[in-house]
Amino acid sequence: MRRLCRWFVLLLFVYGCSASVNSSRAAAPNADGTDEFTIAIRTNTPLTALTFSPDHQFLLGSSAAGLKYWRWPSMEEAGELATEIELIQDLKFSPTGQHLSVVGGIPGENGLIEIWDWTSKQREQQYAAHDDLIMQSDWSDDERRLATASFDGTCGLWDWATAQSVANYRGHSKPVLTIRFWGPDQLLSAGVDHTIRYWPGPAFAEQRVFDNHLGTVSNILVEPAAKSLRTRRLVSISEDRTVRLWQPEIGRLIRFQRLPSVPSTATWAPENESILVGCEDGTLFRLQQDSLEIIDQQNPGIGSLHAVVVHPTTGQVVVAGRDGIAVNRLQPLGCGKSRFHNSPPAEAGTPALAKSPLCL
Amino acid sequence: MSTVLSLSWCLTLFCLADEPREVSFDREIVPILTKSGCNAGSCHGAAAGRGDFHLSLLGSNPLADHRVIFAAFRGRRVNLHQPARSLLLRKPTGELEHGGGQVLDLEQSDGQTILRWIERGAKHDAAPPLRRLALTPFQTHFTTVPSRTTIQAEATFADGSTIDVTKLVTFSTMDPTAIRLDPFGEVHLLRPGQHVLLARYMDQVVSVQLSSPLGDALPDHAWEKAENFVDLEVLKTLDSLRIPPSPRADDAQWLRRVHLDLTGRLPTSEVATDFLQTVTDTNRTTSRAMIVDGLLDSPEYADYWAWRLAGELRMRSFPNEPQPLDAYYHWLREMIQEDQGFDQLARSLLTSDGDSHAIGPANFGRMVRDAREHAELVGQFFAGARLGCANCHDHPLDRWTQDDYHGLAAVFARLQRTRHVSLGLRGEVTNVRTSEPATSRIPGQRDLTNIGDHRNAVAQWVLDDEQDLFARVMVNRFWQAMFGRGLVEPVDDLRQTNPATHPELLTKLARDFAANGFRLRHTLRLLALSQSYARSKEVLPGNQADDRFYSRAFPRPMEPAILVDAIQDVTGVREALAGANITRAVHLVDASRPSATLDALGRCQLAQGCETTQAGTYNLSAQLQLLNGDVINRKLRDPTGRWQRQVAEKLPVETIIQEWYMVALSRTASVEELEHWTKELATNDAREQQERLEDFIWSLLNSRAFIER
Repeated sequence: MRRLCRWFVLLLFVYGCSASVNSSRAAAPNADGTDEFTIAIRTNTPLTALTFSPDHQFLLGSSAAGLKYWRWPSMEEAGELATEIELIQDLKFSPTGQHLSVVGGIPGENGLIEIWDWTSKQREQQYAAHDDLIMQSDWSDDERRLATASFDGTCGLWDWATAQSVANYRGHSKPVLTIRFWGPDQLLSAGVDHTIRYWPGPAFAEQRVFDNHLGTVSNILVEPAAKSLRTRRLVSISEDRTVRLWQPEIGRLIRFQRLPSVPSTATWAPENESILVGCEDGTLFRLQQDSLEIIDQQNPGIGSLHAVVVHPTTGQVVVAGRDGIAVNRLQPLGCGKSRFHNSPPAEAGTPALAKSPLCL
Repeated sequence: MSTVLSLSWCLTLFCLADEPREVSFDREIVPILTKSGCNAGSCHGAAAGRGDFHLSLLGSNPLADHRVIFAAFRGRRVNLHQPARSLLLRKPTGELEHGGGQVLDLEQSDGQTILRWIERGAKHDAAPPLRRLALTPFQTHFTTVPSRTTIQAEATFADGSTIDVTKLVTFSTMDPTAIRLDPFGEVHLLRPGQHVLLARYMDQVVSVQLSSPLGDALPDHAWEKAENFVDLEVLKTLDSLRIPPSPRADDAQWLRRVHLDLTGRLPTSEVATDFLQTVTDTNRTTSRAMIVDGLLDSPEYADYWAWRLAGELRMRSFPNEPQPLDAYYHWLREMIQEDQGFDQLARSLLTSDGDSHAIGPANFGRMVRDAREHAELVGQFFAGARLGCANCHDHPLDRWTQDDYHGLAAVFARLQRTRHVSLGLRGEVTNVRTSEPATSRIPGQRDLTNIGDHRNAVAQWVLDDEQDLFARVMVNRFWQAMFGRGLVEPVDDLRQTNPATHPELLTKLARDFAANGFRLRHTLRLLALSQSYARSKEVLPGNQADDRFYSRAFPRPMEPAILVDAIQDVTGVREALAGANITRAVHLVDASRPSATLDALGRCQLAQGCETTQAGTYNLSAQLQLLNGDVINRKLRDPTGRWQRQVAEKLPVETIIQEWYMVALSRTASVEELEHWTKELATNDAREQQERLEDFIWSLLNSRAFIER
């Protein structure tokens, strides 16, 4: 009986401990056999944003619980930034890597910007910029300006050092979810009103509207390594389950791909000429960047995906979602044979992939 | 040892008590949102949502709702780290500005349940489907008002589990002046009569009937002999509501009514005179039965009922292609004339292929534009179901889902709606819910493959439905045609949340209809010979408020086409109808054919559907048309008309008055009426007398006695 009581107390202790732990590293392999990915971090609160530090030595992740960073690739917790933003929605390093923008706010109440000096881990600036959550931010190439897209339906362009508004765009009829610099003082934004809008400076007035999407546009990506603005391309993902490729300078929709699930996050992976698209059902797709053909698909096993990043040197893919962070373990996504019955044949033998240094 | 054991049990109980109970999203959170009005059509349940927050209408799609609440916009609405800071709670509790005001209290159980759900991870559990929502009591009869009661709700799920969901049910009433719901869960009946309370939980809505007597004393109807189960059921309801039935209509009233209801025509003066002269107290039952049988065998009966059903089947002609309508109408008329079973009619309409110029029922699918309209017509005509609602969202008040709607449409997606009707190789319908091609489906039952012809399966579903939907909707239509108001109104909207005034009567009528070969003539005979049908319009103290329990005959105007034909018959002058070969409005089944007269009188337009019960009177424009327009006045001026012939024959004024009373009202003028009109028409000036005669006839034809059945 005494042994029974001891077990009972032990069980209570274990229960108490597990309830108080907020996040923990998962050691077990994925239950669904997706051994391309391993779950590096399990969390109780869904991750909202991810980014690698400029020196690629740290991975930063945010959730309602705050902003933490882990040492890469060991994923040991290295620290956290004492942000005052209640719900962080986006993390972006400036082009030189000196500054980190942290945006978010309190839903329905305000949208906050914090600028951090990454080297000193000191906050440089903090101010309320919108009346509702800031969903995304983007740096200008000269680092002087920060563009913001907010759930209050407006976009802002800020001289962040002085917290002064440079421009305020009100062309969207509903919340704005994504914003990107297209060129110096040229901005593209998109959101719940199904449209992508182009509003270049100096007037920052709307010049072009791309309205082919039939649902909320949740993210837009600018082609990172284009030769000229004229040939530069834009990718958009939408609740209408399409990924669209655009040439905004000439107002052209090049092509689109319909996915079997709703895309929620995306990133351009130029090193292996692909676009990675994470979906609400937890699937990660890799699309060929020109044809938008689905090359591969996997399920990292962390629920709906909210962020996807590619390590700039190793090419490893990291995804964040409802249940934590998963890391592409064996090789960069798409280089191996898919283990999913429904996935189309991997194009591992194509010239583009064969040339990629990321395929081991 | 025992002390340790007791302590251990206490600790166990303490632990269990301390452990927060799992909260189910489907079973608890969605019903709370429904109860709070969050997912109503006027709020976030609207097609476009509200405030960029779109929930499925009345929680019909919990999975989508969970996605919107939990996953959309990366945790904007649910904060797992600080649950009480979640937008999902801060808005409805009034902590943040909310267009819908404060609808939740964080201190009350509903708010606490949502908070606990977020604390436990805001998960979506795969709750087993709800099998049955049972309310106790499901029917309550109070003896006095105001009265109050409490209603318990119990849900039974597919896994066999049963839980008390009284606090999660959304109660609502269509008439807040009759039923009041208080915050403590009590239901108050405020007004006498029969009222309905709706209770919604998850995807089911059920109704509770609350009633209280309208009168004080049990009505005395010992003088009325119940002819059949129709009378027994009607009297049972009148007794329970203590409504006195009006006396039997006199023979003239009955004769006129039964002629109009069975054939759409007034009795001729010869028939009326003969009947009124021969009917006595002893032979009344057999005399009336002979009249009814004669009418049901007449060609006018087939004309009238074919015209009625043609409207409900949305018959119309095609430009430069008159043959399909001809074939369709003549097939329908023949089915009625030969008293073919309506089950055969249904099968033919649902499954016929071939040359639509020759095969009438093959045109059923040609009368609609596409597969969706086809599905809607099938639902409306055969099942009394307004499936159209389920195009955009699950039917909020019925069991039909979007999958049912688009699945039924998919059955007809490949139908070639050309002259040669057939099922083609291609064609699909997009399910709006999934944005994918819909899978063919028998509504409310099972999915089918998208290969092959499933129209027979649909016919089987219509006819074999365990709830007798087809028989119920058809007898309800017949009842409405005979009594002026359906047992269920509107007649094409049969659902549990729109209960019949006499549920048992509707069930018995449907069973009787099915048991007698789905024959129209049988059911019409049953209704026409009932005492309930034979009641007068006389209003008694105690039944003046009755507009649905058949304590008296409800005044109802003739339909525009029937009125036009009646005016033609009475005046002896033809109406200029569309098409030279159409002499009677009842033959004009094509609602797309122009007719200024019928349009002015408000005939049913194709776009409106023709199942709406006509209001108790004509609208203003129709009344002005009757008073001042050509419908009556042109016929009175026509030199070939009846009264001009009477004048030419130099008939005595009394004879003219009596003849007009007989042809128009199917009775002789009373002594007072005769005296009055004789006095009014008396003049030595022949021209003046003619004008007065014209005025007399104008008055007669504009009287309610003439226009109403």
